[in-house]
Amino acid sequence: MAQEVKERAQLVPSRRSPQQRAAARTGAWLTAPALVLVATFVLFPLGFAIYISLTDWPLVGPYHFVGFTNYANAFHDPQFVHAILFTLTYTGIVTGPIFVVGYGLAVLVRSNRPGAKFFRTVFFLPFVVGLTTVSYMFSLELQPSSGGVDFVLSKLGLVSASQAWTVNYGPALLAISVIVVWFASGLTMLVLMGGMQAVPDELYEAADADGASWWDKERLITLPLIRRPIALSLIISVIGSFLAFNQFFILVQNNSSLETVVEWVYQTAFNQYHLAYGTTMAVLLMVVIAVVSAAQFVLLRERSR
Amino acid sequence: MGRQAPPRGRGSYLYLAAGSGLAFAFALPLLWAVVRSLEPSVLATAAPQAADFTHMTVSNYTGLLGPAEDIGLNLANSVITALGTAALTVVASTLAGYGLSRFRFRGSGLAFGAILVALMIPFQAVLTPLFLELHFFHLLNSLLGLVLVYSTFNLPFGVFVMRNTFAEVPDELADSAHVDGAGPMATLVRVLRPLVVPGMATTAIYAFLYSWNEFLQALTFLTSDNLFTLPVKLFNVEIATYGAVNFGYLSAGVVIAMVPCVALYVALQRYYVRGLISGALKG
Amino acid sequence: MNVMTVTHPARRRWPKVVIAAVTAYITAVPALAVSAGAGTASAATSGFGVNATGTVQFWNRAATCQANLCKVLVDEFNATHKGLKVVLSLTTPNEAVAKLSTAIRAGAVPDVVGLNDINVPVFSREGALMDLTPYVNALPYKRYLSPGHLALAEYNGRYYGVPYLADLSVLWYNKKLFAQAGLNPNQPPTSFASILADAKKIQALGHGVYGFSFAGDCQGCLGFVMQPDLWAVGDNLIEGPIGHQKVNIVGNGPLRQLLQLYRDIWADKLAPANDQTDNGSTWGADFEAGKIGILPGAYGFLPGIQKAGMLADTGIAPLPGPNGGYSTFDGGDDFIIPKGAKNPSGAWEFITWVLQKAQQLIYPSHGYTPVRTDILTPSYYKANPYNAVALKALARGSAPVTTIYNAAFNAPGSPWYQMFSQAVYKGDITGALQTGQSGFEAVARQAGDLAS
Repeated sequence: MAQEVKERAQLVPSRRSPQQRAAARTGAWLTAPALVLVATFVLFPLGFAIYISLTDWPLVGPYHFVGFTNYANAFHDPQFVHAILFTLTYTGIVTGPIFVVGYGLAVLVRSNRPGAKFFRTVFFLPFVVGLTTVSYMFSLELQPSSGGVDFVLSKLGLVSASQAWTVNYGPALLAISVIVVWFASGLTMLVLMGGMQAVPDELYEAADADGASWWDKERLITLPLIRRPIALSLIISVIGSFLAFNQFFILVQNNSSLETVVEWVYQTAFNQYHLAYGTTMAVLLMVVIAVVSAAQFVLLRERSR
Repeated sequence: MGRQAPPRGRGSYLYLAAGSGLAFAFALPLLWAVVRSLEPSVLATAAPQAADFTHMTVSNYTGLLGPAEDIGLNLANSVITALGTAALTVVASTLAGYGLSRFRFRGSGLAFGAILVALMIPFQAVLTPLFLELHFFHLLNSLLGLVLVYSTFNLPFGVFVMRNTFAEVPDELADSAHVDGAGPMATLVRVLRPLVVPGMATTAIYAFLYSWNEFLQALTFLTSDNLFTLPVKLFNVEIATYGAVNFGYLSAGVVIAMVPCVALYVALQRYYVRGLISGALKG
Repeated sequence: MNVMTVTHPARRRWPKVVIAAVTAYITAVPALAVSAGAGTASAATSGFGVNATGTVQFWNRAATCQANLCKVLVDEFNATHKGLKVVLSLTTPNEAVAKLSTAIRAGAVPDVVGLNDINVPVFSREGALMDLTPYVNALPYKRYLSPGHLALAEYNGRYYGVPYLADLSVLWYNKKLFAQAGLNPNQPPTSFASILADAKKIQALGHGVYGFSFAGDCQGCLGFVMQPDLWAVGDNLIEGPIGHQKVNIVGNGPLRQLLQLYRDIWADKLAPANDQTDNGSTWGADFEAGKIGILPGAYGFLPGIQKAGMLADTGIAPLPGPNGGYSTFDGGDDFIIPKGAKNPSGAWEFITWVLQKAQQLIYPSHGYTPVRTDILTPSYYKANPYNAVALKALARGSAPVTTIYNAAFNAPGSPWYQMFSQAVYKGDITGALQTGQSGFEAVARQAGDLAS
């Protein structure tokens, strides 16, 4: 198939036809605008941030170069270690549900049936509102006795009317996880739906002619062909969970067992005024994220047919 | 072209019933917020009762939008920034996605990786460096600066989506255009565009929403109130000292801010049509 | 055959581009870093703050611009001062310190900032603020300025700021409930014992009424209303000058009594169970609904109480010490002029205008308290009966002068909150004092603030 031809062509050494060089140049020029933006507004500040992590840069005042002292301190910082473990736990908990719910919604809305467009909008609404605003909304509705959550759940007989959701580890983690799945599955739905709509109908029609079940079609046709959108939604979701901040910052005031890495970074940088130390931990977090994302890429890579 | 005739009969009703139930469950918190926005704020802190419905009022809306003059200006700022971000992101992402997926060059993997790095950065880490850099370029306190920063941070998602999208395009299509003598840009615009438009729509929606909702960055880089975006303005009105939140205002703010975003989303829905690829091949 | 695949890039162009980029990068980063924090020379002193011209960039916290006070002031100033224009910019909660410090790094500072007074020492300690000593000393009403606010602006004997507005803590009580419980509605509690006794009597009324209420998951709120009970007897949790401070928690008698008071209230269920999870976002709402007998809170609750139609039934008193005395938390903002400001003279002109009596008099209607005690005249007492109580307490008000306030009190999971939580919810007061002592000391040590 075309894929194999492509790969074979790549293995042939030093075939420098003018068309190929022109094509490579075209590719580079097409990518240039994005790269320039990224180099200017991402890579440069990132390098600067690494520079800061090698100093004792305070929020205000003079700074001095200290080498890897901050990094050494980070590895002995129990709160940093705990935050990493908690963030990993949290990521582990929400990634699956976000994907599964998003996939289910995508299956529901990918067709051109009447009602599909309306459903697409409703399922996407939480994402439209934004996580910060959603978190503030729920800071009201999660109040014991007076909030909407206890009202509805106690009427359904699931919890007592005065269940507190933002103080203790278990309930808080559960509540935030549900909120985040509700919020993020809409985006997964959108991404997967786009991929699903690109699958040619002939494949499904042929499978129908062979008498394949719905699940067979899903498993053998859809899933392999939307490998790329799946990779995209999983990678985005995992990175987002690693960087979780807003929902925890707004909903949980005083339980450090629910502290994420970015929260601890924020604390050290802006409440303790140790910007350099906070930046150091942020850099370490980025390294972890990069490794995990690279692993995901490898695992979810498009296999040649 | 590739559109199936919508199925009729029992299956259709089952679909609508199940979908509606799920939609209601999804929309419930937001419907609750709409109801809250029509109640006086004081009721928000007592247990909900049926009697609350008799106290409906628009005072939250007038209170939020009234004394905060220049709301129109803030709204315009939001729209300009969000549309600008969406446009720049879509253009840069489409070009880069095209280049990365269909024009393999040495280092394209590295380029893609570099672009993805933007996704992995906690904003707090680069706040100071970005601020210093924007100041150096005289881009502080300008909507252009915001658009550039927002667009850059949306590129990972956009480039990822567009790269995927272009990879799905059957080679036959691009090849036949090439054989006809079309250059890469002509191929893109005339032949490939209809197929990659859903990806562009997804990128545009994401970038627009990011710009609309990520107001914490706007706060740092803007010092002139008349450049503030709408969510910033609303946020300042909703939160008082010691974190006391005016929940009536907050709920009204949710409703107000949702309107343009939903409008854009619905408008872009027409680009998500099933069977585009197979249709293109047949047509 | 797909001709769009390639086997190699335009290899020759890369190295030059890469080298140029890396070189530019290596020179830019340290250059930017070095330029961060460099200030310009300060202004001339003749005619300072008089008939200045140009524009003045003024940053105010959105949180202290309730009812648009800061906008009203700026608009009025601009209308009456041709030739000088103040441009207002609001900063959100949580971002004010980060924004100012980043601006200082970039050398892009505003001319005047209404800075949260407890944050001023952080900046004055680093020499980031303009020395205003001669100008402050020249103020004819200097001795009437709020001593607590002014102390926060002082460092090493020099003034780096001046009071701007006061956001004070007071004791609100429901006169109607007092009367119903057989208490004298004009006699608010003046000691811990009377608070407890009055709360018990009101609790006995039943029907969802509680004697007391507090924002039990809001460390900032608790610090705001509890510490004055200690200052009323001259007791402090942090003592000494910045850089050599001592933590006074274990062995602190009044603190033990204060924690015991809150513990008793909680254990006897004299406050709603919801208080434990109230993170400040609904603070005061239950009082406005008429269900609470005694509420230590902010003076700034007044507009809300008025709006809820509760004002006629509400009384106000200063926060009492264990056996009498009173004080208040000098919350609010100080004016500061960052070093390197472009128009410090214009800034000072604006500042002194705001401190004039005419402007100070509009504060109460916006929920704030003036920062000059000479405003408290009999006619003021008549016109603003509620604010007069707060303003009277201003003379005895205080706020901790330290650089660790945020980390020790306001930060999530702070040692202050841990101490409160252990004492009040778990009933372990002795343990709580230990937790507080070691927690505060750890924070102070990390900030280089602890006396060795």
